[in-house]
Amino acid sequence: MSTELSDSVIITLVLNGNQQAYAMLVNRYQQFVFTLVLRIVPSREEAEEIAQDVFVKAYKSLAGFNGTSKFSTWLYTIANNTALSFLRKKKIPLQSLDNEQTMFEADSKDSGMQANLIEQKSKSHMLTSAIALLSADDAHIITLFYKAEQTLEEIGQILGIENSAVKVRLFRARNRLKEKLETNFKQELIDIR
Amino acid sequence: MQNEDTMNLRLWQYIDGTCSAAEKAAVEQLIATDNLWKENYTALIQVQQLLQQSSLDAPSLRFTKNVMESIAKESIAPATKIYINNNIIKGLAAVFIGIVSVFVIYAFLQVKFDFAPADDKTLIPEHNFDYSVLFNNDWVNVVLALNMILGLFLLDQYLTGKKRKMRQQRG
Repeated sequence: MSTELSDSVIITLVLNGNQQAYAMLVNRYQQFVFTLVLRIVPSREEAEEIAQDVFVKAYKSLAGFNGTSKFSTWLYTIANNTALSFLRKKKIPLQSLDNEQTMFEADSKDSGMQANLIEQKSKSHMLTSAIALLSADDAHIITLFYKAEQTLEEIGQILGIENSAVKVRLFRARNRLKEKLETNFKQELIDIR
Repeated sequence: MQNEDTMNLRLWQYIDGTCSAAEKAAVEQLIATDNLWKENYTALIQVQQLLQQSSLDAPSLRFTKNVMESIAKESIAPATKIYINNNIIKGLAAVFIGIVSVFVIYAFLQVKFDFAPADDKTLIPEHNFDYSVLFNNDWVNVVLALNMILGLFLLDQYLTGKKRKMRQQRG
């Protein structure tokens, strides 16, 4: 019953002092936020801590949410900034495919995964494994587009880039994902066709 | 390679439904008649379906409880629009513009426009414009220097922002 309330109604309840209503927003978006953060910060424990921090930050600044964008877009912007800020603090470079070292690491992961391929039959597992082989940039944009259900404009807003740049990044990311799937899961792809 | 990129780009636009009706018809025609296009389309549509069917990662079961415990100690910060009074900002702007206007008017009142009588052969009348009246004061020089520094600072900010944007786009 309570899950049917719209985001804006819940936000009004929280702003009017009903702190417990915030749990509905947390339940609604926790998987989206956690998945997004996990695409940037590979450790599950750290990703969970950051995701919790995202919800606490969002709560503290809830009064500043002016409703010009969707609540989810606003929340994912906080998630993106918090995860990137965590990487900067820990001095972990954000993986990018322009980086040769990243390409090398991805290739190493490719070969290391061969032994487990037979066990990875489920579609979801196959896709998750293939996404894990992508750079954080690619995995993040794919997750925003397909899982977080954000439009290209909204993704641009979250990442702070132009709409045209989002299109190019998404195009490249999907092509790289296709390559990873074809390289590592060729037989599985034929089986499910 | 470039051809394959172009093909993939057109196919993704077709799959996403972001291409025009004419482009859609053209791509459909290519898929129906060209084996390479058909093969690539099948591969891309499979990736698309996998992405649409994939599930999200779930955090631990205590996640919501942890967040609620954390926010119990916190309070919601007031929105900036509440504690920033627009009238105060407008007042500050009015004072600033007033000071600048007074300064400009005062400066021009000090100038002695002493135009020489127009000569038949001279198109532009000569005048004794005494610039020293404007620039003989130390305070004026200080204000000019400050403005120059401020201008350079703003230019630096603008160029840094532009550089960051370009790097992100290349990203």
